[in-house]
Amino acid sequence: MLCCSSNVCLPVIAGLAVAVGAFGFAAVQPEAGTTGGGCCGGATTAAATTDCCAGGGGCSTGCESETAKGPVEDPQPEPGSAVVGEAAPDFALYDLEGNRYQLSDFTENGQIVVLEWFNPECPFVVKHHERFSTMLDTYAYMLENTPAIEAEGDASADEEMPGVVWLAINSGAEGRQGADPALNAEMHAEWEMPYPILLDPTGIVGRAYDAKTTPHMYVISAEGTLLYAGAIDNNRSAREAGDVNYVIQAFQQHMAGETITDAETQSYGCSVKY
Amino acid sequence: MERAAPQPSEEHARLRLVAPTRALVAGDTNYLGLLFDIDPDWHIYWNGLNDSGFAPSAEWTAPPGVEVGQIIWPAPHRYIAPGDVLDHVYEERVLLLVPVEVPRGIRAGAMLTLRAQVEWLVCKDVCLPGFGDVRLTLPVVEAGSENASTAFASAFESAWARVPLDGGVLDDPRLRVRLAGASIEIDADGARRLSYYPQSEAARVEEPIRRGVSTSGHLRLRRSPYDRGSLSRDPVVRFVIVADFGGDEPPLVVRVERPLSELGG
Repeated sequence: MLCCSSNVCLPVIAGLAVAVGAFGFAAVQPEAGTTGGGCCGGATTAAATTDCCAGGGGCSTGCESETAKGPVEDPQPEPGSAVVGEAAPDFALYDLEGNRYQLSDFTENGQIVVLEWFNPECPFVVKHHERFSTMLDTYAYMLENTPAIEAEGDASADEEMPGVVWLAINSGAEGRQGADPALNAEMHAEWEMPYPILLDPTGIVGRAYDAKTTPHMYVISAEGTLLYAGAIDNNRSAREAGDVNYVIQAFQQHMAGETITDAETQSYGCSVKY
Repeated sequence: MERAAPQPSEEHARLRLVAPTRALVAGDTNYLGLLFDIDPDWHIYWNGLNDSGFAPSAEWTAPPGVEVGQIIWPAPHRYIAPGDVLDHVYEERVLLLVPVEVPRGIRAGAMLTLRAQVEWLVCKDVCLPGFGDVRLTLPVVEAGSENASTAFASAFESAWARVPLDGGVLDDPRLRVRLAGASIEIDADGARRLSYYPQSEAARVEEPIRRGVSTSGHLRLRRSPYDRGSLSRDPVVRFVIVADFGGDEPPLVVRVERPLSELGG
């Protein structure tokens, strides 16, 4: 049996969700059973996957489901394409429940986006999520200091969107330390993370942003410009907290219209487990 | 008789505080060592530029008057992980040298205890933080007294062989280093392998994985620091060169330091 893709026909393996349409880099979601997979916008069931992938060798059929808005092409960011001061490369990834997140959807809303490279088994990530609450505190600070955005043109126009979107990204390859989706789900709950963990098992987004460590932080303006890349703070130890939070510093300077003094710092942590 | 190999442990790196001789010499700089035995495939970090990890750090407790100096770091090895992560690391065994000044006034026969609380990170495909609380008690002898070697004397010799010489005073005709603006040119006649180890942000170079090592004896590098905070705190181009000549010839290990203000461009 073959599954449709924009350019290639992928064999459908029982128990695996295989993306259709042009979900290039997320083509195979080996943990579909636990993550919901990436087919048809990520919100599909196993049945929907089968439907998507039916039709034999035809490779032109689009992928439809009741939740997806039709075939969506996932961006394919080039390695090393993220440059501070320039447009942040667009990407789409899926969280642990299979929900799809595309960077440009948020920046088109006028939301600031923070990316946090993540590995729940890395001592440095543990430091900032367990010993300290650096990440959650930083997110909370940014939310408090950003006006909410009114959703446009929707019937439910009362709804407001937060001014900041925070995304954890795990670029660990399958089988490597901290990559197991079940473990990520467990730590997501244990650390009460109010934002999603996106899985990047092929590392395409990690390599586009040249993420070296967990954590490795990126701040993207509401206009889609990469404002900051580097460490969360200035203490490179696995135990102690720093006294300069570079993400907050970049955010404050950006909001005040000032030049960001430390737009790039050397990140610290464990190597990303590509 | 065969000695049992160190057993791999859950910590993956074991630390001891050791001395090359059985006593400390009064009125002299003595060198002690933080000796790490590291499990196969695991590594700990050098104190230069690394894409991940961090170098060991020590807090010392010493008797009054005894001064413990900064760690002297032997040259590391390059370690490249997937995702173009370049680290400078130690594998298997490394001895970090620690200068200890024992004042002249301490009488012979006194027992001195030094204590180090050490924090490090040991990594393979996973990383684990390590902590060690190590002590060493040694008697003091007068300069010129008999002072027998310990079993660790050879580990100290190996470590010293990879401690960088000061490039500012080194006069070895085989090695030429030129810094101008952003350019760094290193030539080592006859070197089978020439490696560049950046130790400060100002010494960060473009494409370090591809360009930071050479088998032709020539390195052509372009500096490209980006962390402006580190640069302003430490505006010095500082790096270590290791030239391996093969055979029995000892490697040439050299440290170069140049203030940014001295470089044009």
